Amino acid sequence: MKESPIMDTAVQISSSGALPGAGVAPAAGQQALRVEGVKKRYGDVEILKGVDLTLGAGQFTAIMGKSGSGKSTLLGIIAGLERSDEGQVSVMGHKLAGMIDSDMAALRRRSIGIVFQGFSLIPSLTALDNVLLPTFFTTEAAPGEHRQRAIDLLQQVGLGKRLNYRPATLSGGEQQRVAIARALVNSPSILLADEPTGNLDQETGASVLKLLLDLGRTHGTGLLMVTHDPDVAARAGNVVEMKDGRIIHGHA
Amino acid sequence: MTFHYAASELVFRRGRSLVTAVSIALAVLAAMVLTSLATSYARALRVPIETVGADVIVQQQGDIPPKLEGLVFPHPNALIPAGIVEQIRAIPGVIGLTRAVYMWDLESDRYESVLGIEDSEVGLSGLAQRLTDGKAILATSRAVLLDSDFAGKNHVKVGDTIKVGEESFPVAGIVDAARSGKLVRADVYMPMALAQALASAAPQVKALYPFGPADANLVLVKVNRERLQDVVATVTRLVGTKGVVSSELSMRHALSGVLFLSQSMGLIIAAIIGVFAAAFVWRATATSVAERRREMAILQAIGWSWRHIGQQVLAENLALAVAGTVVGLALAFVAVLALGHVSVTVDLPWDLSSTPHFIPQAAIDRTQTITAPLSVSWITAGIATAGSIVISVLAVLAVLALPQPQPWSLLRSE
Repeated sequence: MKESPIMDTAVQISSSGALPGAGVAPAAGQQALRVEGVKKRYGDVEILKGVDLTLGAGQFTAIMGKSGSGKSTLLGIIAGLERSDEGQVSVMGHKLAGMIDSDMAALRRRSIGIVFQGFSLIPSLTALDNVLLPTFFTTEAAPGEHRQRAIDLLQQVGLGKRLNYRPATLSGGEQQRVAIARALVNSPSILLADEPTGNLDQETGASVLKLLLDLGRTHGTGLLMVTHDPDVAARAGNVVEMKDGRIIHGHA
Repeated sequence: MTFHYAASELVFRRGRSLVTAVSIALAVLAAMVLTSLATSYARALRVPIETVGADVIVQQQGDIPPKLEGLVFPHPNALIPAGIVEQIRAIPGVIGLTRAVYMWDLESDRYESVLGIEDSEVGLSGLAQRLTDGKAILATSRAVLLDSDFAGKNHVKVGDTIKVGEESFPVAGIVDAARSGKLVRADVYMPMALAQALASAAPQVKALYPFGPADANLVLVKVNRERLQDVVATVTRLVGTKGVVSSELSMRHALSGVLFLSQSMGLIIAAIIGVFAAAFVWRATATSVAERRREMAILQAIGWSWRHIGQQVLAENLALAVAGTVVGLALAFVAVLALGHVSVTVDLPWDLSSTPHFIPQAAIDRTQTITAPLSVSWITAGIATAGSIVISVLAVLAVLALPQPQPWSLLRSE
């Protein structure tokens, strides 16, 4: 299995760069994520039967597979939101096994950005406040710097004029753009995306995907995306296919 | 920032926020008003006793004299022997004791109440401070003081003489005892020794009691309030079944029909309301957390720990508690101001009326309508504030301690 750099370069983004002291972006080619022999069982059903995976800095790997193949479960375990029964997951060298809840939360805050399929914004908060949520408990930068970073990201996703809009007043595509900005606000090492375009129409989905790839590349973030869409997977440097809890196929 | 988020959340869910804050406000309001009523009511219970200027009034029920003429002891003012008085004086908790002789002087065309009393704050010294004309009398004087109402009604003035029993006494002064309070009301006041001498010589007294020159038929006791209950119990035992021991406690007992307003009952009702409010806050918190499970899962996914989420929910609940408490306190101030005072009509458990029983208005004289101002208790306000905050905190702790679903199960695409 081999990772390849994010390929799409169509959009040029003027990044404000990683936040000083925030998530430490790995150097190009450095291993950001390592998954070894991960197994997971729900009751009598073995969902993951020993999965190995690596993701390098700035690389894009797509995970494909039918429903129930274990790809979302794998993503949850990598995010530290599920615990594996066996095996090891390391994010930027930090082993997740045995980590207590608060340490796991801190690691997610610093090193892992997540974009979900469903709209995942807090309905009571504005777009800007939603992007700022992951920075609430980080002390690496002053609140003013966080705020500026969030504004820059929202401008980069084309929502610079909708900073104070609530989710209900944004379209589905716009909400997903806010979610992407939120996932990147702490300059994570890896970005996990679980069917991020699944709820969007084709055009909007393509636009959001492009944005995700561009920002991931610009920020040097490794991108691991679960998708059913072959067109999306075609943009990835590496595609792995899962079946019955195992990676059965991986190609660049 | 957490408070900014909390404020946004509370405004966003303004319906639930309003209902929760209002329920807290109503609980605080109820607790404040009930305890205010109870406190004022308890204060009102003390008023009749304080009017007499004592904490405990000791009397003894007696018999009806063979003839209603001359000096007689009212029915509830029978002989209290000197020995009993000294035993009362020796009870721990008794601060001071004033002996008195209370009589009616019945003539064919008139009657008057006569009080012979020792020199004390509630006796001759107290009377001296209420002089409106003439001069005070001493324990050794052979003169009397008249109540201003009685003197006015009978056109008697300082320097005149007045007949009490078979003897005449010069009027040394006029006092306004009725309006200034803290004294037993009578028409004629005289030194204790004179009254004892008159009573021991009076045929209708002698017909019933072996009243000696050192005896009394009324004892006013000042008590250390912390030991009131013990003192009352001891005095009651000393005076026996015919004794009438009046105090704040007997007043409370006499008013048991309206006990719901008493301090303890007020607190119980306030506590019950508090329990209901706590249950409501807990329920509202639980519902809110249940509805926001996905939101909380998202927060966990973006790096919030469960402790951070707890702080967030706590901030929201505290904001509601503070808002509800402030509104409740404000409403309580307005309600107490609007109610103004409590008014209680008390059937006095003793008879120190200047009107004998057989006169029709005696029934009126034996009741007293007391008004006591309502006021907000800052201690209660503090307890209500602390209570609502504690309730809010406990509600969050209880709800967050419940098993929560795995966050990823709420977020995953399949």
